[in-house]
Amino acid sequence: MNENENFESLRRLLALKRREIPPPGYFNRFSGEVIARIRAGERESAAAMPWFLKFMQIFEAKPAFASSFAGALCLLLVFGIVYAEQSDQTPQPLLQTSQLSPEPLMASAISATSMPQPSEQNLFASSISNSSPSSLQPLFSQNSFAQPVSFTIPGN
Amino acid sequence: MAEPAERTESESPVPEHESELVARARKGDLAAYDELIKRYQERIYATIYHMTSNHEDANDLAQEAFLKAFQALKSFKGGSSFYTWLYRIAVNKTINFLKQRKNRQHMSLNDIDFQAEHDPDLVALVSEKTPRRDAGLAELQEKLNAALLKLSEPHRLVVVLHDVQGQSHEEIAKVVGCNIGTVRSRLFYARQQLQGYLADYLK
Repeated sequence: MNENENFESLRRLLALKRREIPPPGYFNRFSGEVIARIRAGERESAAAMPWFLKFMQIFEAKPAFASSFAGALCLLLVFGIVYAEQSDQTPQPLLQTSQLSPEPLMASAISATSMPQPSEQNLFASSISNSSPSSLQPLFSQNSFAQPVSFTIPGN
Repeated sequence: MAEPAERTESESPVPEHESELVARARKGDLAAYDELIKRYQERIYATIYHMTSNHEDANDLAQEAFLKAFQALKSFKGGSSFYTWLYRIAVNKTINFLKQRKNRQHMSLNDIDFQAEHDPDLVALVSEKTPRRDAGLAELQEKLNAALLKLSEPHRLVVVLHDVQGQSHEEIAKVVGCNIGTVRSRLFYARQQLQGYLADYLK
């Protein structure tokens, strides 16, 4: 008598479990419900995903797109390097440009030094220091449109 | 007595076709995954149902197992068959669930197939060999499920997979992640326990 014969009655009783069946039509709906849950999950995760991850997902789905994007970046880099080297060889004189259009240069020079708004005392100081050269003086002296000005304080 | 027909890996669906479906599903093809679900839903559901003795829990767990498998498809290396891998996910989910609901087991049993009344083995078991001759199939079903729930999860699992689902020891070892000797010893111990619990219903 082997192990299986010892448990034969039990095994026949356990066979009853195979007769237990879910409600009719259950398996016809099952896969559809799982697929619907997968779709719902994908929609939720897509809505919650930051734009950067969405962008990266395009690369995951289409590796060819990733390689072409990387190629385009490399080309851009090479172009940038070549352009930078060429511009180093033939530098554009800055002052020539300033003579043609002085106003943008002045504006940029003023903004670069980020001068504070002159108060009354500063105006006084500037009129006193008119004779001494300031950092902007060479620029003014070369620019025909710019005129040095002096302010008079009322009451003096 | 002859061993019941055991399902082996060679009897599983055609591997080439399955691998094609898996490859398509990995790329996000839901039609392919739908086909895989249809192929394995009955076996996965049945295993979980026999472990929980509750239709609603089995439904939830089976759906979650298929969901998790889809999400984890990219990590599926193909070391085992998709079926074994899926089974492992379902079994792990079920065991975790059973551990959580340890002290609040509630049975929600499916109906017995009406053809069972004509099954000669079952008829004999109920009307002739059972000391409780008044016991009907429904009562027997309830007692059987209650006895199964008394077993520990690892012991219940091997009984369900072998004696109810008809899987081979080798397949069970792969799913459970232990060696064949452990499967055999667990099966023997579980059967002994069940025999004790169901003594009134056995000859």
